[in-house]
Amino acid sequence: MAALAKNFSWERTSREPADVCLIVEGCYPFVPGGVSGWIDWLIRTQPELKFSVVSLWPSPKGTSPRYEMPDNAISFQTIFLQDFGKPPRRRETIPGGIDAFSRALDQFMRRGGVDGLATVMRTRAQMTPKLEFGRLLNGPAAWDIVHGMYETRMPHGSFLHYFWAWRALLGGLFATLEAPLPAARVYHTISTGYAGVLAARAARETGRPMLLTEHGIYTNERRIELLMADWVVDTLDKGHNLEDDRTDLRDLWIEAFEAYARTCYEGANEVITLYEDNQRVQNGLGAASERCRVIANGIAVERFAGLGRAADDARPTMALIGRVVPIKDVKTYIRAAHSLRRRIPNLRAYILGPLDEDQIYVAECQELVASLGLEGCIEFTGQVDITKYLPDVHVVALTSLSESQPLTLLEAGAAGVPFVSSNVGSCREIIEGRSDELPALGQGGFITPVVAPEATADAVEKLLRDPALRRRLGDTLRARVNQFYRSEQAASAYRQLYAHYRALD
Amino acid sequence: MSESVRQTTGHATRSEAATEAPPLRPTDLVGALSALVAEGCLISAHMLEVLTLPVALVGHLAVSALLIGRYMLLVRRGRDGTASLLLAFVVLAAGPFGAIGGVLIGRLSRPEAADVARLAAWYERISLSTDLSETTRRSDRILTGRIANLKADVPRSFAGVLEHGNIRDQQTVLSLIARRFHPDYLAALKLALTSEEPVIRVQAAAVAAKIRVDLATRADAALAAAANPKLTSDAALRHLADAENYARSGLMEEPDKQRTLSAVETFLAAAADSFDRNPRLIESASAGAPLDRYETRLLVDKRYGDFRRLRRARAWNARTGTAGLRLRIRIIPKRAKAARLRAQGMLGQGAAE
Repeated sequence: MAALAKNFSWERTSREPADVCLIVEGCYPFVPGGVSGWIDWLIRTQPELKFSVVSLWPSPKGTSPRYEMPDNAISFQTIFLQDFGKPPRRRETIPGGIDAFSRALDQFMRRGGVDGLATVMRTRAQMTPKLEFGRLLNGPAAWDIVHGMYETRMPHGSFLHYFWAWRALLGGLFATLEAPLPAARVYHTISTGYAGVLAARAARETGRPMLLTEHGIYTNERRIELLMADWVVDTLDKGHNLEDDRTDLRDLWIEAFEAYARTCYEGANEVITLYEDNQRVQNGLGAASERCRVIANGIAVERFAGLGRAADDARPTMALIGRVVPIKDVKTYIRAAHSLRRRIPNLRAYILGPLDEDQIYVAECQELVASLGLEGCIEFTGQVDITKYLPDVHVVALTSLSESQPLTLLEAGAAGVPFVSSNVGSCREIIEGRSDELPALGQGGFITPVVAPEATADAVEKLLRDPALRRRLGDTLRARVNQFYRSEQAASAYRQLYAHYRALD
Repeated sequence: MSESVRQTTGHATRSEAATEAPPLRPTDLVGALSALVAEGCLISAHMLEVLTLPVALVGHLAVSALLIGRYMLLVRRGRDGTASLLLAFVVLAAGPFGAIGGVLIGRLSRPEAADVARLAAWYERISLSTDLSETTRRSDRILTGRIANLKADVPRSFAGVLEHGNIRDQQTVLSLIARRFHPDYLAALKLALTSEEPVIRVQAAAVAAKIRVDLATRADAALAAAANPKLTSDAALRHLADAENYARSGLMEEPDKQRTLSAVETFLAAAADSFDRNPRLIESASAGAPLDRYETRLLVDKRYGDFRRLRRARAWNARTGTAGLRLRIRIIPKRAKAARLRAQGMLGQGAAE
């Protein structure tokens, strides 16, 4: 992975067609770690291929690249989803065919699908005069469209709220449908959502193959976020009735993201994920089973192989490796440390990860540490080279609410450090082994429920108090990582995939 | 626009529309003056027999046509041409008198900037904003039919949905727990945290993380409510039970948990000490955990008579709770202790009298 800093220059452009066009949303190269790190790894492990990168981002704010542009990335383009264009200077006439376009949009926002997308593009092309999407969103035609869609979808709801939701949703969609497409032989999106729609559009317009790799399930993450969001106003009182089928704003948003996902799944030649359980969710959202496959993440195991292990008589040390953000539930880790410190007074608990992504949450965590009197026990290190810390760590713990396939688990495993993880993503699969693992290697740590500080503390205590158990589980985890989760295995799988689809006419 | 929106916006638009006339711009005023001069010249020329009537009428129509042309130009540029069109019509209909009318309209109407506060209030109203008062919002919801469907079936139990429902319904239940949290939902949330379905577990964890943030605030509010001197003792105990449920939910931060439990204990200890002389009324002995500990305290204090009466009352209320038959327990606290507690704000008014 390239060094993480700010303000790298990403101004390289090329008219030459790329081998692979990566379409990413809300991450690379503006956010460090997680999926961004994986994308950086993917580009760098395929040096023989030329990549172009299209990054979808809300607005021009916060667009300082956090990664150095790889040498084999030949072009970079940013699309702003909240760029709604400007009102027309002159009064626009309402184009002919607006009703057909409006109906097509309505259908697409509800059901999605490649055909739905094609109908939207076709009816838009048939409008006379043909307006740019920005002018369409800001001119009198917008009123006709929003009015028609409102009457169809939410006539019982608040029109003003509908209008703003409609504008936000369509602003993003129009930006996606309007953006110029870099020429490439394969389009590869790293999520569904707007990036997925853009990739589906690219595949349809160019006739080139499209691949989707999902780490987490984007639609499900959006669904959870929208269901719980306070910023989405409930304009209807549905009480606690689950059977009330009146559409409200929340339903509108969720429906749209599900429609976008369906479009992406339909348009993709291959739907790739990191572990089997995710496939079940993808199938539920519309991905055809025969197109789904698993390519697990891998790491450069040799980087961790030579690291020593913490001595048995060293200060008992555990670590959480990850960004200090709510999804990692760092507070549960802190509470676990609090519980554990009562049993092991000289405990040391590291939190190894960047502190700059959610400063409010970081402050809350630091307050919690202070209120529990854990200042001498817990240390926030910020972004560090974990190879310098792992030799001092007896156990690595992860208390995340959601993960796909955490690299930290693989890295700790490669270093022979046993792992305690909440039961999220593929953690159980990595720690305990897949059901079809032959020969079964055994357990490489412990799985705990989510939001369960006592369970985390119990598991860590077991490992801290029993050096033999710690070594055995660490060895097992190392063996599993070496066998199934090597970087070159994942890189090779993608190399073959790209070679296959680049060769298609 | 749908009927519902028309109803909602009706409140505000009627008053705005009634008081505002379309204002003339300075250019409209110049147009009106020019029309007045032109029409005056035409009439004068006709009266002086310089122009015949048909020629004067053609000239009049030409002036009107120029004004209409100006209106069309404004519209094409996307500007408001209402005043311009009005001027064209009055000049067409009444010649120079119409033009005088146009000048007068221009002079009398004073274009005003929209009142920002009024516009903001108007927007809040029609958008059904959360800043509206509860009464206004409810009234609007009833008027526009955005209330709960009263003909719908009784909502399903959360636990039932989480155990047997489909994933979509389970997710909706979790979202309701997050957005309309009540301590009674904690059991359902704990069930979701141990769900076999990873999607549900993850969402439940996110809900728990969200709720955890405001549990301390809710517990403080419950403790403050319990100390309200106007409350009956039963209501106060219910608030205490809520505070204790929050604290024991497993979701509250440890320091907040200890602080809340300690406050509940202090309150109960003070209340128990006072239940000797003054009348203290427990209207329905059903407040759960706090009352359990109150019983323990009666036993520790060897107040077996009070303990037996309380037990009988609780058993009776448990049997007849739904039938509305409630047994009242009257315990007599010491006057002096009650007065002290009243001074500390620890007891309700009823306890101190």
